Amino acid sequence: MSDSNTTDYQPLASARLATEYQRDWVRGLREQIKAGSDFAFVNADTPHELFHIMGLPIVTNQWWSAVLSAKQLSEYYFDHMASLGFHDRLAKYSSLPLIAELEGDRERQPWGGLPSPAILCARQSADDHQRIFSLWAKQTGAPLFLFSAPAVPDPEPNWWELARRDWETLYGTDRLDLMEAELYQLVQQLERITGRPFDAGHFARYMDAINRQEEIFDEVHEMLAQAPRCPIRISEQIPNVMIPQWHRGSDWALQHAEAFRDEVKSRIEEGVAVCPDESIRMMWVGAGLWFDTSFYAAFEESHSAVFAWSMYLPFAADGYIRYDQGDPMRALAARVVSMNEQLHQPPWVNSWLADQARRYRIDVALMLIPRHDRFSGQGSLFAKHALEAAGVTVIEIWSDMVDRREWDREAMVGRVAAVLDEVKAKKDFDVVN
Amino acid sequence: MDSSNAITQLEAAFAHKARPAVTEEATARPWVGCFGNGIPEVLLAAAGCRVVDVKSVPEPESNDRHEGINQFIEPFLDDYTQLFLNRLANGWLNHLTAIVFSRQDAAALVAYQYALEYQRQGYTEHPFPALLLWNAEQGSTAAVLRFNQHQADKLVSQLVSLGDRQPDDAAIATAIEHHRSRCLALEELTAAQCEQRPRLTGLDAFRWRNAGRYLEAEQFQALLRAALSGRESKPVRTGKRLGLVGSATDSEALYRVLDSVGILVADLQPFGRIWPGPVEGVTDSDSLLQAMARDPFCPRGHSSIDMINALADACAEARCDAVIAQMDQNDDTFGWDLPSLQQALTERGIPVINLGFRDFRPDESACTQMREHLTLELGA
Ligand code: SF4
Ligand code: SF4
Repeated sequence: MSDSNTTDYQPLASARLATEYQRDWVRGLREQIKAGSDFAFVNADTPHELFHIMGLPIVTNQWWSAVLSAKQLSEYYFDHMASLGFHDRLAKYSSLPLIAELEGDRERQPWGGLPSPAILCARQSADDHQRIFSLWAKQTGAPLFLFSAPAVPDPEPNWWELARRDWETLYGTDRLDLMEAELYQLVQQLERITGRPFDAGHFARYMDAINRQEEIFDEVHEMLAQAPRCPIRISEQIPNVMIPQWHRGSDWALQHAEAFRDEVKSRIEEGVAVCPDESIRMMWVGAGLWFDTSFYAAFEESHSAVFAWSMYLPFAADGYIRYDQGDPMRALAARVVSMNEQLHQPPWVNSWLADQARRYRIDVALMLIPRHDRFSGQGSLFAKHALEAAGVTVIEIWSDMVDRREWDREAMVGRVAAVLDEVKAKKDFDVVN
Repeated sequence: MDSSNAITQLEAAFAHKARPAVTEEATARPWVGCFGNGIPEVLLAAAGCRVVDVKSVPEPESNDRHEGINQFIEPFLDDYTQLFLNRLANGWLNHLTAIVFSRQDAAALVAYQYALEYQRQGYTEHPFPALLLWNAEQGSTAAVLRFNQHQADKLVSQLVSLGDRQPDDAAIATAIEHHRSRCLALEELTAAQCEQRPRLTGLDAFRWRNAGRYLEAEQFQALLRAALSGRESKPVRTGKRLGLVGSATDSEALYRVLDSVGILVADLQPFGRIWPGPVEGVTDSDSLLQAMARDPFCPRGHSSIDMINALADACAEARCDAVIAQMDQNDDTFGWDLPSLQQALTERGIPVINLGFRDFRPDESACTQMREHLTLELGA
């Protein structure tokens, strides 16, 4: 440990602005919903773009799950889940809102609970999505729109190189035809719900704006990958990406992405570093550790080790930029048709992570492997081997992170520190020799 | 054909599960393995393939692990996925020309993805059979039907490129006829299993039914009918009438436990079903695909509520006194259905006994425990 490394990290102004914007926006959404406005309850991997363009507010399942957890309600609902007869190995992250709905005591929930949505929407990527949403539909009487999710017979490993322009080849004409037809079916249903017609010109401009926003994130991603030392913490990267992603394509989101980029850029130019004598670069593989974000900074002082990578920023570029080639609806189909498979299915997940690790000069990866959410856990060992082949030391964390009961911070710090000691010793040895 | 001879043949076919040593016709015709229900076997048969199941695990192959492929297998993968990958890597499926994986079977899809990636990375010690995905979706919209039609064309052209013949209308019509007569024979088995005075054990019905996964449809339906025709000579079984629901299981030990506490009259786990899918109204390849896309028992159907009602109705029709639920250690789907199924069955006056998680091959002590649990609950 060196004195120069006692961290006097200054938070980004943009991170605070994003959080404030989101707080106001959530307040507005809450007022709207409480005032009886229609809304849609949708899964994370559905085409939010269509709900937005049709002017129907959405509440996403994964976000509402995080809201319930933030109110310390998850343990109560996990217990309730058991009393309803659901076993405790079922996916929890994506089902907390359903359990809250089935439990029925709205006063317990934030916002006094959610009223019945005008529509439910999910994609059948994993077999439990349909079940969770069918139970929700049965409980609330809301109509359920399910997207088909045919598998990918011939996944090209370098998907991120093809996805932006050559998505027709990458995802396959048959799958895109089906997805596009189903997108139009959803549009028709949303037209009936909102009483508004779909405006193709408006949609094309909106899709264009989203690509521009993701290009900005792509720039930030390149800058962060190339910066000699990591200039910002991932705990700040995450809100700066996720919040504008939520509002993707809006004027605010574009402006915010630019402000974030400019702030990162000037930090790099000024030589600002999270760890002035940075010596180990780490990546966090998996969903964010939302309930203990300070963990991301835990090894800065002790080991000059920084978390330089989390999936949200690079995925904003690789997962979202889809140039429309004259057909914005088909481009949207290309964006959603394999949205989460790209993060979970071999060879897509392993080749992408290995490429990211190389670009970011990663030494150590912390890999979260959920045991009871198979869909998110699949491909983990292929990813682990690919990272190791790329020279990365991998620390596996087998845990369902939505359940904070499973998170033992002290033990984890001890485990990671031991690995970092070894990596550091080896690096020092390599430098001497 | 005499009944006991037919039974011997069915049992031998099931016990052997088409392992390589008896593939006497292996060179004569391309053998194609199928992983999961919902595969259009009619098209495979019409292309001249000999179709055999690869999901159910032959006992001698259930323990040998393959070190290479195991470094990529997470412990939470489905048991059938794990064992299949080991068998594939060990070379025990080398006698197959191709393996078709059903996207409708979650275990099959992951097996496909992992096998493909293992092969892509060049780890294979011997060439794998061609790995083909049957990528159809459930639904009745024009877009889904068009998509499924495209998958059918693709599957056929893949088979043709492997040396099978392009199926013409006549070959398809013949295959549909065989498919139908097999389905009808299987329906007779289902009816025999739940008749007023049942004589079959659950284990018999399970073995006979699934023996068909390794036999030609024509030969199988004849054997099954012959086997069924002799059942009058067996004693009438007495006891509580039971249904079985939950995760796929091919554990004979589990069936022995059920047979010891009651009479299995409705076997509704995936290996208890009539496969590969519905046959009603099927006259050609189009109607076949349409019927398959609307299978009420398909785990990827559009409403688990409909599937639950279909299961509960089937239990009621079989006049079950109780329904036994069980799931594998990594279940992530049936657990969502169970409370609603329990409710639907209660509404029909049928109690549910939940055995909870069970091992892939429950050992002696697990079986004893299950038996005690069931005996207690059934008051038998
Ligand atoms: S202009 Fe853009 S941000 Fe505004 S409503 Fe239209 S699509 Fe949304
Ligand atoms: S991490 Fe994976 S499973 Fe979780 S929401 Fe994202 S894509 Fe879906």
